[in-house]
Amino acid sequence: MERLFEDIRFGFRSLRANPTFSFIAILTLAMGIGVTTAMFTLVNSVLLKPLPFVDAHELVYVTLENKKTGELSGRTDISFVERIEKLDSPLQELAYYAYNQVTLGKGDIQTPYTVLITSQNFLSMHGVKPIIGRWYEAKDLNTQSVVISYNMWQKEFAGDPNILSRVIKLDNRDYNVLGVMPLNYSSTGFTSIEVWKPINKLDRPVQIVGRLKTGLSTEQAKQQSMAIERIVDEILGEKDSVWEIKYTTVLESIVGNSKQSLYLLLAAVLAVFLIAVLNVANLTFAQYTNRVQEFAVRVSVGASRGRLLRQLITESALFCLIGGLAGLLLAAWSLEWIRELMGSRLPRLHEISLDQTAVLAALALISISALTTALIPAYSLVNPNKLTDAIKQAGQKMTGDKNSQKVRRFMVSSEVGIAVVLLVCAGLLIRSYINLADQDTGFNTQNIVTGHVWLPDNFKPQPNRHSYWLDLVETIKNQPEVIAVAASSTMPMGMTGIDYPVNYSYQGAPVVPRGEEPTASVRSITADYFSLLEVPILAGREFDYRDTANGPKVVVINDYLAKTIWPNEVAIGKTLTLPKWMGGDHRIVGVVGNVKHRGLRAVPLPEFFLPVTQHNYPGMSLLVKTNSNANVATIKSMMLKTSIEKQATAPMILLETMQDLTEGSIVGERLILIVLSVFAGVALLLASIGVYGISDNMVSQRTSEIGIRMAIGARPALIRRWIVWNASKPVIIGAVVGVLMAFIFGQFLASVLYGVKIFDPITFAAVPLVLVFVGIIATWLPARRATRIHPQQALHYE
Amino acid sequence: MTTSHPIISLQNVGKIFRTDEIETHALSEIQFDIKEGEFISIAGPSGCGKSTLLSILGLLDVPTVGSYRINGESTEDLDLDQRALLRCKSIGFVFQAFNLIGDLSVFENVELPLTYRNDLSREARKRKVETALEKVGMAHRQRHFRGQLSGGQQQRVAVARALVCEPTLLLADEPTGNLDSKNGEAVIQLLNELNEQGTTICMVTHDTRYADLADRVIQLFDGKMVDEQIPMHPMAANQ
Repeated sequence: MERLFEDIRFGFRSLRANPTFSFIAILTLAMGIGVTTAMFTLVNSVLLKPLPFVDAHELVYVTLENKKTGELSGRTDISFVERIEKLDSPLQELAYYAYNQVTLGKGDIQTPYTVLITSQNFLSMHGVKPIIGRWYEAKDLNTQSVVISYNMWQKEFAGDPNILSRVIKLDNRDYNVLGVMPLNYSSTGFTSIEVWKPINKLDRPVQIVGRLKTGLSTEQAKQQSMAIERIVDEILGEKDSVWEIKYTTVLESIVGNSKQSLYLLLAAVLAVFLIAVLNVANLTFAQYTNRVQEFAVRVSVGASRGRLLRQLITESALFCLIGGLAGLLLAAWSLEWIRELMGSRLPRLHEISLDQTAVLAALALISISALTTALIPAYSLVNPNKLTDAIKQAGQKMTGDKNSQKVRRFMVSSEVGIAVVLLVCAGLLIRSYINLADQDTGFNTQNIVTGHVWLPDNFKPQPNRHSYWLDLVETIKNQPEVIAVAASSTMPMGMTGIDYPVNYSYQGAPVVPRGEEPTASVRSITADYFSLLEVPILAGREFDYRDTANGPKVVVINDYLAKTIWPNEVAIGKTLTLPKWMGGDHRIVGVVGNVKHRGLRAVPLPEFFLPVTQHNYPGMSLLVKTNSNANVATIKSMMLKTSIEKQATAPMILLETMQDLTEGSIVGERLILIVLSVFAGVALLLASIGVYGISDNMVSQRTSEIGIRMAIGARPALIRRWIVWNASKPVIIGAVVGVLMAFIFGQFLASVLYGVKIFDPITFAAVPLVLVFVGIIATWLPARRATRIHPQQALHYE
Repeated sequence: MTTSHPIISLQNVGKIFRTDEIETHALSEIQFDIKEGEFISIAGPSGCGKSTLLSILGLLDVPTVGSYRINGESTEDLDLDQRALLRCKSIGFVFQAFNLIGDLSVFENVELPLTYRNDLSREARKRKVETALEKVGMAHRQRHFRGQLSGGQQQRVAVARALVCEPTLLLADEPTGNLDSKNGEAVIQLLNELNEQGTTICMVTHDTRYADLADRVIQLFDGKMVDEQIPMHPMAANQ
């Protein structure tokens, strides 16, 4: 122990004696360990840690999937759940839920909140108890009772301990609060749910969640579900076997979409860590080379090789520990930054924290760093033969043997190679993002403000729902700065609204087996929708005053659908047959251009449009076209005010410009791009430091050689070229190997790239050139320094 | 073997080193010529300015005052590249510590100055290197590396490297300083032979045995020339 303290004391002295080395090494490791710990924490918290439910691994989403097309069924309503839960299934328990919106009324102010309307056993099945009060139960079904979130309790009721005895107003109705859920409780992966309300009636599909019988995997559950699948077809009135039950763990369902991106970023950050460690190992190499004489003296006075190694590992552990602790601070800051950057776009973000696992991960990274940075150079330098030579050459500077140089050059080549891979990946993502941003949406996104209105369940507009929507549109249209207004059941470029595929048929349609019917997405719209968005009308007309509720059923289809059904015929005047509940036969009155409805990455899909007068929903998105110089904030405020004036419990939410929505549709790609670019930038910086380090060390090690060369006639330019060339060789080798590696690793990016080939020649040519250029700059300064060495001084350099 | 034609001419050369607070006069009022084919020694105690003078002679440093001419041409206005070229073509260096480059073979070490000239083919360089190595009796070791040679052998290779460009002047800075007496004498013998073959030599040494072998000895003390003498050559005396 005493020796350990001696080593630590000497280690501190070494750190103080070489402040530049210590600063660079600690900074590099802080960056490497910090970002790696942050990304590991993110992956662990989002992907790996069990969800905070009792026996979370048993919780599964139950969906019906079309055996032929793989499409999910939208026919899972409450009655369906009630029937299948009576069957012998691999599930212990079944529950259901759907999203809704309520407004919390406090005086004249109505604040919209997202509510999860669920079966009475939903909360108890998840097993997380409220911090105050209780779950709802069967007896609460027909009472006006809710459970609220911790956030709502604090924000709206100032954490009132008597909340259970208070009556709150939701959608202007009185409700009892049964309980308050814990801070950050989330049953869906996101924390936007503020109210849970029990229901047993709903006239729309629900999500089904169940608890598998203990010990069953999803695969085993699937195998045990064959019998009930037959009954499912019966329940749904199918003659053939169309549907199969699919079980997806809740964890997989919540985080599945984020998996690829997070693992990609984790791989990238591990690469950055590797570069950081190699970099510090390289710097340590230079340090050790300067200390060979000291090592030799230590050996000559009795230090064993093991003893020497222990001292060097202790020294490395010191600066790795300091770097690691700084890295932990950086990780905490990075996680805050990621939280802000991701907003609500990443599930389980509220669960991310620098917990015990994160600290253990950081300690593991510190240990790896300490061992690597000490042992790689020590293995090469601290061997008896070399130290004996050092003793013989006492008083002369060791120039570093060829093997040491090879190891160091290999490390620099590795750093450059890894940096090339990261930069190529970032380059491909940048090109992909530019392609996405340049995509034509199919409509004009300029000067449009959007918002969404949900009508509460207890609100029955008079004389009917479509009149309410038309009235709201008309009222907003009459406001200043407004040019046109339209409404749609689903917002283009947004994830809000009602969007589902509907079976269709037409005269002469081929007979297809059940379950393989063609489908198209339905949108309910008001007149002027296409002209407002400047979607081209390719044939016929858009909806207008003629398309009344009781008039002939009409439909507008998009070009994709028209060409799918009648590739060589005129669609106008033909009949599109929709399900009976949607009105059956509809006459096609218009064909419009395709739009990228679900975002810039989306491909056009078959779509049909129904007039709001003939088919509408309780939720509609409003699109308001304004003058180009209109103040967006004023328009948003006007839209909100108008909606509240029309119906206090139906305030307009999600107010955004169409331009922001469009850009937001590729925000996921942008976030990955930003994070990966940061990593690639750090990799480039670290690799440059590595190259600078090796060339600087080369100048130091070869000062006397430089003097000799100058003494026998080498011109300064030749010396510079010689240094630059020698130091650039590992850069060039690394760049070439990196390009080859990028060919291999680029395959993993295939699914996230848009309009860019994995082997994009511009990226693959530009990145290594940039890196070699940066490498040459990094060698230039030491090379210039070399030519400023006074030959006489160099010749007497020791 | 001397002629009356001076190839090196120093006029009132001085060298001052300045730091923030101190001004050190390393050399002052140095004035002498070296004639073609001459062998001169610069002698004096440690710190007297011998190495500084050799650096100026070798164009590794510039005098603070005075003029330095090689073959009648002034060196004051030469830039770094011109000095390097002139050094490469006209001056050969032999150092006390041999200063062979460890990564290069004997052949490559000797070839190095020729590679800086850009005016010789590979074949021409090879011939010159072999000739230089033969002159110093090291032709048979041309594939060896520094670590495989004794001190005496290393210094022979260093002499070959200094000679390979057929310089006007060979500068030797304590060439025997790192050698035992046997090898030291052998190197001095080699320098004598080269001088007899026409090479002009300027040698810095503090060993009077070797200094007195020169045609002329310049004594330095505290940066000044305190004496210039023509020693009684032992071999000449015997004759």
